[in-house]
Amino acid sequence: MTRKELAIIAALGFLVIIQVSFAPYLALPVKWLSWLNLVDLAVAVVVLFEKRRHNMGWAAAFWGGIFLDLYSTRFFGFWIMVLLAMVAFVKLVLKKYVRIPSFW
Amino acid sequence: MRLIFSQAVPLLVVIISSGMIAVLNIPSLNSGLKNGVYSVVGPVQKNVWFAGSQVYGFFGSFAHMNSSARENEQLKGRINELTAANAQIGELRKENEFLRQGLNLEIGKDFDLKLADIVAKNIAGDSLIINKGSSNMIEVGMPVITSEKAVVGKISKVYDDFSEVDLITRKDFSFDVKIGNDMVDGLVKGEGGTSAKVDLVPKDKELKAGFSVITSRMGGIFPAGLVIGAIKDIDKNDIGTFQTAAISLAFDINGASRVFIANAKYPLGLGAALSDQNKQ
Repeated sequence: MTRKELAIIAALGFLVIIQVSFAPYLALPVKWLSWLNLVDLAVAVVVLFEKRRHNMGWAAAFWGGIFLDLYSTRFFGFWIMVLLAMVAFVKLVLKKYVRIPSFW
Repeated sequence: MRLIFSQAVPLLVVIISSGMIAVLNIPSLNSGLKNGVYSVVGPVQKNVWFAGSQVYGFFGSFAHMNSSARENEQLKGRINELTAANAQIGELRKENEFLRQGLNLEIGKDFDLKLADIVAKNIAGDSLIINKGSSNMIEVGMPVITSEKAVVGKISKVYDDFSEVDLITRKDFSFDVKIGNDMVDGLVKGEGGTSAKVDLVPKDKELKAGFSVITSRMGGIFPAGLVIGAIKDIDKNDIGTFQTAAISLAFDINGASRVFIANAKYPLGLGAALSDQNKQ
């Protein structure tokens, strides 16, 4: 595992703490923010801007899912499946229909 | 051979990962893992939670600026009403103290209260995580309230040192309540997104904005007389048999950093009954 991958996983862990401890306060005045999931967004950003042959998106989805599952009231693995499905979908769309310049 | 190996490795990783995730759904393992993580991350979360409340306190005033002018007008009207009502309060206070001594309906009769800090909140799922668990004799189903006796929710899952609390605003949460001075029966239903409504109120019963909503012993979840909130917007459908109303909740997640877990000394209601028996 590279240093960059470790940094992204650590960032996802930090985002989960923000999600469950800090973000709820933002959602109080603006109701729709309660549906904003920082980890989902971060994984989407990773998968959108990684090079096509890289697999960081899958790893980010797996670890992000584990972190979210630790605070979820649903069964363990729910968020892992959701995020992996999202990565698969985004990769499929990118492969077939879109080309985005990669930044790393 | 190398080709087969290179294809088998990812498949093996997926199978092992899936197996591990499935194993982590075993309740004892799941609880152990979550409790361990919460123990490690808990102190950090507490500080982040506190920082969030500070930021919200600062920016919240800007967010509510638009409605402040309108509220100001309404409050001026309310001041006049309250000035008149204030005159009666002295008399009522004496009466209240007398009744309190006579009836002895303190919540401590039925419950041991345990103080807990809120360490995390899942606002989309309407649940909290608090820093008291089975090591503090916390059990599933125990009511969670604030120091103002406002109902927060009930314990839904217990770990060694932490517990999950389902808020009363959670979508599948419902319980019996009494409304207003006439103690009209109703059912509070969570609507998600930190809001709840009162339902199943017969149409022939009068509902007015501002009527207080309190818990009823009938529900079996909360002791009677705890505050839920006040009636806000009433929906009297012409077709239906019942009327519904939105509730302005007494529990404010913004100001809350601590809650009480009510540990029942007796089955609900028995405490008061025993107290009556002792007097006789």
